[in-house]
Amino acid sequence: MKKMKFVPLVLALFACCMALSGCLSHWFVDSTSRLQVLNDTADCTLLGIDVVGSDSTYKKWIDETVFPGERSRVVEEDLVGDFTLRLRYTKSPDGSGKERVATESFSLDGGSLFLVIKSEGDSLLWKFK
Amino acid sequence: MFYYISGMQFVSRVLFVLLAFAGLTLADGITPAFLAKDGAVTRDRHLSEIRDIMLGGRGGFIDFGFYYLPARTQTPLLSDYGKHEGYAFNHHFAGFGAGEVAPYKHMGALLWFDRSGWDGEDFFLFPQYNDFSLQRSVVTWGLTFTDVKMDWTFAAGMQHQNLEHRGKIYPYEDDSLAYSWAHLRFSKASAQANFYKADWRLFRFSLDLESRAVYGGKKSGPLTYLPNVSLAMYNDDDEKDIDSMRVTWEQNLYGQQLYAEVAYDLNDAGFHSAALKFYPDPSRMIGFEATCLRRIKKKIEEDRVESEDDLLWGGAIDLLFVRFAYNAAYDYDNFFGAKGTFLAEIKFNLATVDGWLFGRRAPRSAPMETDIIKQKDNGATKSEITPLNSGSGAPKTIEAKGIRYEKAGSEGGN
Repeated sequence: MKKMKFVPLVLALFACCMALSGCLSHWFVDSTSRLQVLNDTADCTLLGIDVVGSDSTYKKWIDETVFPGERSRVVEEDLVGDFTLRLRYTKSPDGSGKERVATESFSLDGGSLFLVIKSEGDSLLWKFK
Repeated sequence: MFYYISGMQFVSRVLFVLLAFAGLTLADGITPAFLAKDGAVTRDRHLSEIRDIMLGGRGGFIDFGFYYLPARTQTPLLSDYGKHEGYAFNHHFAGFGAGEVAPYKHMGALLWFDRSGWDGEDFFLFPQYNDFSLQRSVVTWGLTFTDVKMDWTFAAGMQHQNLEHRGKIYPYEDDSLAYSWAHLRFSKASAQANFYKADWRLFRFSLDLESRAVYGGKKSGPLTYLPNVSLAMYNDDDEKDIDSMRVTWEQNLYGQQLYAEVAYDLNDAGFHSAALKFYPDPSRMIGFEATCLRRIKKKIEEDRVESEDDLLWGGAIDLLFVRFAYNAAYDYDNFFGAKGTFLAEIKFNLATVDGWLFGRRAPRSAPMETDIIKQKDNGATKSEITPLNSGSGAPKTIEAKGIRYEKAGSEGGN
């Protein structure tokens, strides 16, 4: 019973440390996003993924050609929050032909992001797994 | 045992409420432009705080504090790429101490320090330093001299602005050791100047006419209702012209407990902010304020710049060790335009003159019962000792460093 006296004290000290260290949520919350993309289409080639913003600002995220059935390398970026991603692709399995773009907005929570691109009719379907 | 548990319950309850607020409120993002210009804002704030402490020019002052944000959705950054979750931060401390080097002549040194910016992680010492974060520190130091008999103060020193990390989205900025400043006060009038190499950055003229008991003025009466006015002129670039001018008017409305404060920009901007501040005790250790700030947003539409403005209403509660604020004008101006979220600042500041304690810029000191207790030990009888603000019928004693002045409330005294 005597030892139990220290438990609230230790908890209180711990709470103080948490508060005084400005909280330390990054110990258990991801502050970067690691993206890998899988081309799950049969006849499209992915040329890359960019983050696009206002005034035609953009930043390349996945800068790699991904053929049908393949996956890209994992690329880590300091992007956590609400962003618009732009997918550049061609409607051919070998990457030839006209470059097309598709954009979609996402709220990224950080950590490992595995993006699967599927074709659905004429358009592409984005799915994070 | 009971004490700790109730303490813990209190802490956890406060944390829960903060988290609930943070989760419920959809905070507006802060912009890189605000972060980019914060060096100048911080240097200006340092000098205005130094002006407040130099009203006496002697004694001492300590200050420290930091914003505590439990959730990273509270201060998102709006860059050209999107809305980044993360933490705006500001850690600050300040200190001033002066000693009497000759009769009525005090010399001292002061140091103000701020580290502020935005980062993807919450931290106390080691930030993430990501592609979008900015960390900047500003140091202001100086030496002071005060002649109490002639009632004047001279202080001067340097300011150092150091960008420890700049993300890709911010404009280039030089680290600089080359800011210098000087402050001259004669009685209730003071002037400040701030230079970058040979170019001026800031001139501020202040008339603190209000009578302040801590510096030997009146405790009540019409002289305490005189206004405190200041005019600040800013120059943001290397050209010689004035880029903006701001007049600030602080007015005691009731018993040095209720104040109104209005800031007005003399250039095209016009009204900037107004605040109604209530201090339960004139020592200003605890304060409540309601503020209104006029925001001006500039938009570029085709070739012309269109400006819109709206009013931001908010308030803050300062409880000596912690300050809670929502949309307060102070935080909008000094914390990168943060709005739409509850902010908690863990802080402490205290000024002292001749052993009396008070908050920065306070007109009167806190009632100090410790001195009264000391007197008790010296053998004074119990009935003579009453606190300063006791009822009118009781005899009043005013204590100062062991010397006791008495105003007899009743005649005779056997």
